[in-house]
Amino acid sequence: MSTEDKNIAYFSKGFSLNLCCKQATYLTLKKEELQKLSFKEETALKFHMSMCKFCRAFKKQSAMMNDAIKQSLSEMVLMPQEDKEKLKLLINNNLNKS
Amino acid sequence: MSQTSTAPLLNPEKWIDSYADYLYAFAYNRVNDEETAKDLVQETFLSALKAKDSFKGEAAEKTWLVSILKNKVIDHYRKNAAHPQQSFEESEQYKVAYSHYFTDDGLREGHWQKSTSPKVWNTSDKSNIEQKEFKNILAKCLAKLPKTWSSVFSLKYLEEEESSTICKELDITSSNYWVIIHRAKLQMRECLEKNWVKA
Repeated sequence: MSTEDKNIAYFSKGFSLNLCCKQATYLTLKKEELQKLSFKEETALKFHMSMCKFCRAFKKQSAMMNDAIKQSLSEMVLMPQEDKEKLKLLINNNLNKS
Repeated sequence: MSQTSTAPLLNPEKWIDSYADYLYAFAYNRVNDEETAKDLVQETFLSALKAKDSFKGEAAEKTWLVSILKNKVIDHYRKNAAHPQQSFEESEQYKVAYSHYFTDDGLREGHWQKSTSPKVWNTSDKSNIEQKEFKNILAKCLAKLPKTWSSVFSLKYLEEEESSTICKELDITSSNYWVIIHRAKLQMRECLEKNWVKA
């Protein structure tokens, strides 16, 4: 995955080791999903993160959001009983037809 | 007439008692709407009945049903993303400009705007995040995103869908995908900070 990301250059002043926050947050999310970036991107991101508390906060909060979203996806919710009864009927009718 | 009309591995009479709650929760947690969730579960059972003769027993009954439901949920997101009844202007108006987050002038180009830069979140009570409240706010924030964005964002969390799959499902380029994820996350973060965590 070391093809140049055109978005990075497009965001601001091209790609240099000196990233702006727009580029750094973008790369943070990319890394979050792909686990790794190109060497150049990785180095530039590390450098930026060491200096920018806002982007560090962004990274932390993004991870927290992911956890909270994943947690909310496995929450138990019960189907209302009356809807279950309706579905039972539907299935039984269907089975009897065939 | 087929000789094995009811595969021994499937027990449709027991489906509701065994799986309805699980499937309903799976759908509800992903579409955030009771009626839509009910419809998706019903469609899942009907599709399963139709396909029951081709069930080979390679997967467990439950896994098989979940995979059918998952496809229905993806379909739902895809329809949502296309959303023909929503005009372009309408879908655009929720699109918060990049310049809302990052300056586009001079030396500080691309740096955080003061007003929307991340504040420190008070996470000392993170362990007892009120799930119910979070869910409501999350749904509210998701609903504020342009339809395509919220579909991309939701698909990302559906069973850890690969980005290449999402791009194919929603017919977007990978470069577009990353920009959507970036902008959606910025907007979600801001929305959650305003409504959920007391910064």
